[in-house]
Amino acid sequence: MVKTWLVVANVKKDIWDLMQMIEGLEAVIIADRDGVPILKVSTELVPDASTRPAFLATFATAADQASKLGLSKNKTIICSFHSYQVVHFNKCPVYISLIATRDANTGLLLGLEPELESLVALVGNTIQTEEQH
Amino acid sequence: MGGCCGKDNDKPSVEPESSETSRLLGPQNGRTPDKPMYGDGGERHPNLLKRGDEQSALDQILHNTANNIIDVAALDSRRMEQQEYLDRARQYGSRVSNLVPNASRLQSHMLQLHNGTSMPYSVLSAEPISLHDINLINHTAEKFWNACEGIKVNHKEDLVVNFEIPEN
Repeated sequence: MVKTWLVVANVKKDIWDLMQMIEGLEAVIIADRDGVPILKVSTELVPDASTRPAFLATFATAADQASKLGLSKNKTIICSFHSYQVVHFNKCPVYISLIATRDANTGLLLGLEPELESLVALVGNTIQTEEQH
Repeated sequence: MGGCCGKDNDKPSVEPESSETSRLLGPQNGRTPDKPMYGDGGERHPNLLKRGDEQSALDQILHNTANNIIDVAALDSRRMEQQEYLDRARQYGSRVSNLVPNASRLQSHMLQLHNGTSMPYSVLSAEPISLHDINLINHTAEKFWNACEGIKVNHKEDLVVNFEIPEN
């Protein structure tokens, strides 16, 4: 039990360390298409509304619907608000949401995609493999 | 559908099962898998070969139409019950804990940076110090150095004094 707890703690610590590298990044949330969080690392500055499934799930649907407008499949959506910006990455069936302050460097946030890619693939595979067993 | 941005826009997804409606967990959680919002083409589609050509062509058209409809109302249709949310979150928590310990560590080049400053990018991208400030620092440091060299100690009395402890 302690071992499994440690695995999750280590993963979250890595994500936390990554967050410390980018000024203004307040949360990294890996969720499924319904907005149910699989891994969530955040500071206390993150507004509650942005971590609710209703908000996180909107991206998956919005990306699907937007792809039908003629822009083809899109992989990233950046939403800019008054105080915060949210960057979503489509790693179907897993979705990554980065919540940052308005002043955070958006380019650096986008640069996190390849950094998180291997972890997200592993998480998705682990969950799906467990599902089959 | 041709996109104008990105070189791989029209490539099929790497994993064919990763589609608009694919989900991580199966339907045994008390919720049916997502279907297209209009029509039932999603169910008929795999059975096209068993039917007549005309019927299968119509089914195909219906299926494509259902997939291509821009359905904003679908945003509200995905709301889930609180209990289901909690169950699924718990399920994810237990499965994530089965990650392979070493493979799950992030191999990010950003984490290999020296931990001297918490925000290296913001520090490195900051405006460089002006020449005037550098000269001021050098000049001040030089004056301090000269001042330190000019310090002389005049011996007046011993810093360590032996108390006169009476001998028994």
